[in-house]
Amino acid sequence: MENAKNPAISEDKSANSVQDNNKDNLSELKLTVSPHIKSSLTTKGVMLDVIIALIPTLAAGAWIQGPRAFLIAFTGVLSSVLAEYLYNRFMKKPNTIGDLSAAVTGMLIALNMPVTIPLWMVVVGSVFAIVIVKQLFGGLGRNFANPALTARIFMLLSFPAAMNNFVMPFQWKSSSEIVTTATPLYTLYEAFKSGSPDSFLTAAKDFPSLTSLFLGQMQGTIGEISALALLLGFIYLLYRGVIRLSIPVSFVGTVAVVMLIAGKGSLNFVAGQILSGGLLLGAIFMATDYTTSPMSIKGKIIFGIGCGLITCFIRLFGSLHEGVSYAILIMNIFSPFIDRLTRPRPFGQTKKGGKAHAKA
Amino acid sequence: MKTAKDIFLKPVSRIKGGVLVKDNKTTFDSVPKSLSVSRVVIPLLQHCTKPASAIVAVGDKVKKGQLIGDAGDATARIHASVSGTVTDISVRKIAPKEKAVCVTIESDGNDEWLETIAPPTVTDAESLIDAVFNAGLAGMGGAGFPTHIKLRSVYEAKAKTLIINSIECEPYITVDYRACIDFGDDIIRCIEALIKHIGFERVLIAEEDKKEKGDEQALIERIEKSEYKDIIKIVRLKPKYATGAEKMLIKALLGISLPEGKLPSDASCMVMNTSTAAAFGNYLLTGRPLVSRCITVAGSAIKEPANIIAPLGALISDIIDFVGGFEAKPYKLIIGGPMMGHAVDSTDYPVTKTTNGILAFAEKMARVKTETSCIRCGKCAEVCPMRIVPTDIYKAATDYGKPDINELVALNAQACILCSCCAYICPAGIPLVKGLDIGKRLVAKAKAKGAGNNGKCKESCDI
Repeated sequence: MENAKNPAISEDKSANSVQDNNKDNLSELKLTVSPHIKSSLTTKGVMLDVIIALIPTLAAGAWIQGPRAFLIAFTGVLSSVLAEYLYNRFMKKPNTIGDLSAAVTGMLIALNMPVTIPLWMVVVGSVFAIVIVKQLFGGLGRNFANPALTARIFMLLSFPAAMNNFVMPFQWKSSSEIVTTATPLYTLYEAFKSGSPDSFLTAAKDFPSLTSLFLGQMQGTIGEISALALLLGFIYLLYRGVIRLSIPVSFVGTVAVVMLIAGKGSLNFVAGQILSGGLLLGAIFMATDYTTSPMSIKGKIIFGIGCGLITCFIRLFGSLHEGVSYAILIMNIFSPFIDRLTRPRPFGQTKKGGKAHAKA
Repeated sequence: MKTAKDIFLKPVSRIKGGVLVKDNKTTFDSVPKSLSVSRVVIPLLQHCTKPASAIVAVGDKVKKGQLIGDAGDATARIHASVSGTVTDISVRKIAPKEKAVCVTIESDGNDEWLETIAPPTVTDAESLIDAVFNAGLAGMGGAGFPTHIKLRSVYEAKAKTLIINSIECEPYITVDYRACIDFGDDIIRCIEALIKHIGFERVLIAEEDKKEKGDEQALIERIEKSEYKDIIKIVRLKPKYATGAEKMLIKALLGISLPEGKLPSDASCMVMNTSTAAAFGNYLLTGRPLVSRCITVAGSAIKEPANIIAPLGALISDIIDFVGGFEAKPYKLIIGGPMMGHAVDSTDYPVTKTTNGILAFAEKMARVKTETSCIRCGKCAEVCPMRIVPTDIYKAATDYGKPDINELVALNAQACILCSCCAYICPAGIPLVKGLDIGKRLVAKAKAKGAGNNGKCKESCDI
């Protein structure tokens, strides 16, 4: 390594002045722990991605159910952000609205409402989500239940009539009175009870076609109707690496398998179960919430299967026809335990917890 | 070039985890230049075991290469890096939180080598290990483990494979990359000696697969000329940070996953850093011990980023002046790479055998992500090459007021290799490495108490 020629360092005045400069220069040196470079990934960026991913869904909702959807989304976002701001202010805590998580919550609450919901109810739901479910547990990252989802359940129980006041597709455009029919999920429930789902669905005149189901031409909340828009958001989130396939696929996959059995092999029945109701919205945007779902892939799959099974039980045997929210909330409670059970095996260790023998 | 192809092998296994980092290696083309300084401050602790003790006194005249620090077999020997007069032997800060006895030598400007220096006579394993000891070698990749100790244990374990680690996955640093180009002869000489006397049956030179790497023709030709050309192979790995960590490298090259607590010799191999190999190759030829090393000086605050060869004990300030000083006001000064290096608060610290880089960042680069709450996104666990859960360990080590040792053991905190992948990726900007470091030390301390100190890293575990 040694080099024979050693050019002597120049000792002219410029070198000295550089050194003097350095002394003043060094006053700002920061001592921080490694690493000294960080990825550009931020919590705010992640939340922004989720908001972007939700835009097609909101747009589809507004297209099918009317521009009032935008007003509801605006109210939801504004009241959520304001609730967080005022809570932090009142409790003398640092302001956290900049991380955009409150905006995501507000957006999700809005997408879980029927387009006819009175605005004050949206405000009540948002304040409940932010203050009770999120901030009282310590704010972002410490809540055990998904705020938007818990707010939806709270509102379903508090304002059942308003929360089930659905409109028919494009009713807002039409001047004449449109007859409201049974929701697709109710028809599916009846189909299951009838004992021969396939023939029941074929006979049911008001059950939407597969294309309508996929595009969102049916009754439902603003955000749950358009499978196409939800899938667009899903692809965006996957592409940006915000979420992984594990939860949505295991959740929806479990529902598909159980419903295939329950529907006695009726593919119409399975498609109806997947495309109507809040399954896709829940599986893509609510069940994948970082804070309230397990961290490891194995844990995520268990979580998704759990969500799927509970959803099916509620839809098939419960007094309600929709069970996605309850299913996710129940699995939220199990998340910490699933995390504990599915800790990754450290590098090089064998199954039994012993050390791998390393002899080649 | 038809034979050149046979030199390359493919990695046998993929590594999970790790992060893709912008490598910023702008000094690929910078041929290392030597600098000489008027004064060196040589710490007697430049390795990770016990410090050496001074065997010279203030006022002594010393020559370059003269032994000045020695404390037997458990340490790496320390040699004078300039010729001149010893003016001070005292305890000095060698890093913001580290002190060691340092020997200060004022250079006489002659840079004279000790007259008695001669190439070593190596006839068997013992004399080879002695030669390594006399060369004062310690792992130059950053760990600083005395090489002769490693070599002895490897010899006793009859390891079959020698891995020359030239991965250098830290951004900015181009020391090992340059070594392959400029000191290929020394590296192969070292490899040949190790094959001959230690009995390695296979040598794998691991390097990052970079487009810029066209100019190691000399190294390849040198391998072709070697009598052991059939067993010396080059393995190129896809650039990904943390691939250069010993355990990851063994996994990629040999397909063996060494759990925490196991050594490379358990996988019948030894991992040696390229610069260390080059330094030993040089010693075999000339008998000159390790008294200088190549360092990459770079970063947004450095005027002319370059590779330089600095005498050990040279002060950072002298080195920065040598490359033209600062271009912008530095907000962060780092010894080592940006992922695992340590930030320092002054340029008065000396470089040691383990200093592979000096980086200075201007304000923009030094800006720290604002820390927010953990959102449990799980990215830290996803990128962890050791498959542990950094955020849980961080909480167990810092959040509860009183660290929870049992939880830390259950979480395998001691497996952490402090590679910093987790804190690099963390969207919440949490200083995970701080918690992991505390957790790792607490577990090591608890284990030492429980099962009797195994003597490893006693010095570094001060909590």
